[in-house]
Amino acid sequence: MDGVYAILESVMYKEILERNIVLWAILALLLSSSVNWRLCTIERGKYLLGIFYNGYYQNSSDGIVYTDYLKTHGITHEFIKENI
Amino acid sequence: MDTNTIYGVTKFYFNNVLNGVIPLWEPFISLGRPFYAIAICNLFNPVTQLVPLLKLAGINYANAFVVYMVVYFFIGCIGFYFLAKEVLKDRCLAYLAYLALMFSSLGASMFTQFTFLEIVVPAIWFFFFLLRFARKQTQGHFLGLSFTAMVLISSYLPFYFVTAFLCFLLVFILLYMKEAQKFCIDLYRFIIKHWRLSLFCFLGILLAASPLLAYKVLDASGDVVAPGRHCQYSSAQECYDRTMGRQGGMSYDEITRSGTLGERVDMQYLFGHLDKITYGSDSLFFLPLWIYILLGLSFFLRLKRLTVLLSAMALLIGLIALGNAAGLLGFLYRHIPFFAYFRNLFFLGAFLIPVVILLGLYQLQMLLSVEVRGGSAKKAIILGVIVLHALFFWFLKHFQGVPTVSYVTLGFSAAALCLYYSGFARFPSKIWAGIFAVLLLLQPAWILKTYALNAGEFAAILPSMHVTPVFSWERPLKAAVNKSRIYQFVHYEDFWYDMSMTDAPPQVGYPQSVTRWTFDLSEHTPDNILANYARYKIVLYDDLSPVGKPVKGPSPQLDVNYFDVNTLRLKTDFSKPQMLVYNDSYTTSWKAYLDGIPVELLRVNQAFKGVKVPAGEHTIEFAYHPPGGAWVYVAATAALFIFLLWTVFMLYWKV
Repeated sequence: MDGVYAILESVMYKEILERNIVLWAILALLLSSSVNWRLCTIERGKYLLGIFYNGYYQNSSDGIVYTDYLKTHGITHEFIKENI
Repeated sequence: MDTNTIYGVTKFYFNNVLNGVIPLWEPFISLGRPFYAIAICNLFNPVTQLVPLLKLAGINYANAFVVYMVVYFFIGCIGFYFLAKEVLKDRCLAYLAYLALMFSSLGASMFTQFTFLEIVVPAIWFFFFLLRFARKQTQGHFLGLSFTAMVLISSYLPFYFVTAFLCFLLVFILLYMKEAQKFCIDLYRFIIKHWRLSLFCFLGILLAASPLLAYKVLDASGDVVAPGRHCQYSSAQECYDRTMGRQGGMSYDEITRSGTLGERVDMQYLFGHLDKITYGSDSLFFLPLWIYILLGLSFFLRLKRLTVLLSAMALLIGLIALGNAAGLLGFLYRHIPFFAYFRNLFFLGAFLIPVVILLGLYQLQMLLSVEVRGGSAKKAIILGVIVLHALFFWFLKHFQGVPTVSYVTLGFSAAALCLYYSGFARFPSKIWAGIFAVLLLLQPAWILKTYALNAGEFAAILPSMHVTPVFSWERPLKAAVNKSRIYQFVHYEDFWYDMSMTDAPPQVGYPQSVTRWTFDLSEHTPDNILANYARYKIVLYDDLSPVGKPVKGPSPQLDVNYFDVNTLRLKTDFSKPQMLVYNDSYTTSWKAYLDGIPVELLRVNQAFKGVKVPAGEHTIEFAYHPPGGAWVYVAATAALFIFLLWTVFMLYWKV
């Protein structure tokens, strides 16, 4: 009887391992472990604040995109001072 | 915002071509500099020749450029239709792929970052011909492959395409070992059998690469430096040292500190705040929401090699494009010198769009091919569809500013797929394709509508009328550009002067490219002194006085005989010998002629051109003859045109 369960189990594993969900899980794992998302936020903050183009924070009051970004990513003035 | 730049370059180029001159020099900005952008703005592509043709038909340059952009975009969409048809082997799905690409950010970004289209459109056709050639080794497909390679190499720096192609190659070889072997053998046999054709194609690629090679030769001569590449993150001294030291490549810091995908694209903006996309940002990246829904629905589908190929390609390209935020680029930078020569890594994001669309539609194909046997299986699938949509709804709720239309799309998607699997509505496949098309377009159509509404603040008057350049004796001291926001960004205003072919104020700053002596002079001379000196284009010195006498206008002693962007011919009638200084940057490629006979061209006042002129009536000519000259560009344009016609002929009349 155990043998039957073992076969069923292996079939189940095979069924699961053959599905996209495994690939998506691997991709998600790779992305979450190998990408420094905080650095992305800092870099994007710099870009949106216009530091690249203007040399100062001129664009911080320049549009709703920037202020939204500041809000949703917790980019406060302290954060800017420390990181940007 | 590079579209503005590319328009400026295109307008400058074709305006001069229609004047009978292939522009090689930009005399209006940075005190004169080589027309370095000639090799990276898709100017030799047969499609781009629409701009002068439309101009000749009476349409102004700006409108002609818009027509060209739209035509080029649709050529890319059509190519994607054919590519998707080859990959998915289904006409309806290919049409959906076409629509998805058309309504992705690739189309919308043509007005802000046309470079995306410059690199992606020929890449799409390249992959199409590659696939066709792999399946059937005909001369037409080989020519198509060669032609698209020529376009890729002549439209922009080929680094981005090569990176994306290497990602594909790596994954393809790992997944399709036998097919890769077979392809290599077939290619080898084809080249041996058709060696003349292969040789012609190789020559064609060389000709298409010649504008880029000509620039490389110019760069290697040391006459030109690129301070804009080295000064963003450096101190003034370091900037100067690196620029004058002509260090090849860029530091890892320079590559990864600006222009990465992480900087330009944000997860939040894949789903939320899409109503805030404006022309002021070149970080547009969105795909129809239904593509993401399809990827979500594919969780329990069988894993196929094509799914692995496309997703691994997307992952590799994405990780490289993320720069410093992921370790992959650092590893590649340290071990492969190739990766030191390009930045703006977010350009690679443009390749993700077609790859992810293909991936999504491949999942749709598999979803539609699921066989439903029996009532319980049907119920299970419908339940699965509802649960997965509910999970996606829960996922979307984590993002702020998700528009209502996204939830509507999600609801319609659940309803349509439940209807499909229930079997109640037995529509023909074309009706289903129509329903799926609506699901694809609903959300992006709304994004594009809001995008159009946000356009107003970026309205700008671009010089668009034809100009015959006139030599001005004096440079303006104040900028002529208007206050539009697109001119607020560094160096974009330069192209305003090129577009209108009028002189910019005598300043240098940190342009992308400038002559080394002018840069050196500008670094050691206060701006006001340089501006005051270079205000007048012609200065005369005689033996008695070391102080030059600026020429403020034409006179019987000195007048302009002929002027175009590459040449200045002067008519002189001095009573005594003079040193004539032309305050336009010196390079070793400039030549001087006295009455048609070559004479020594002197580098005077550190950065400018000077000629000794004897007394009496003479003609002095300054002419710019860079490596290759104008023939390089004529040959590249002709080669691309010939290969296009040859490819079409071989594909449709003599396969």
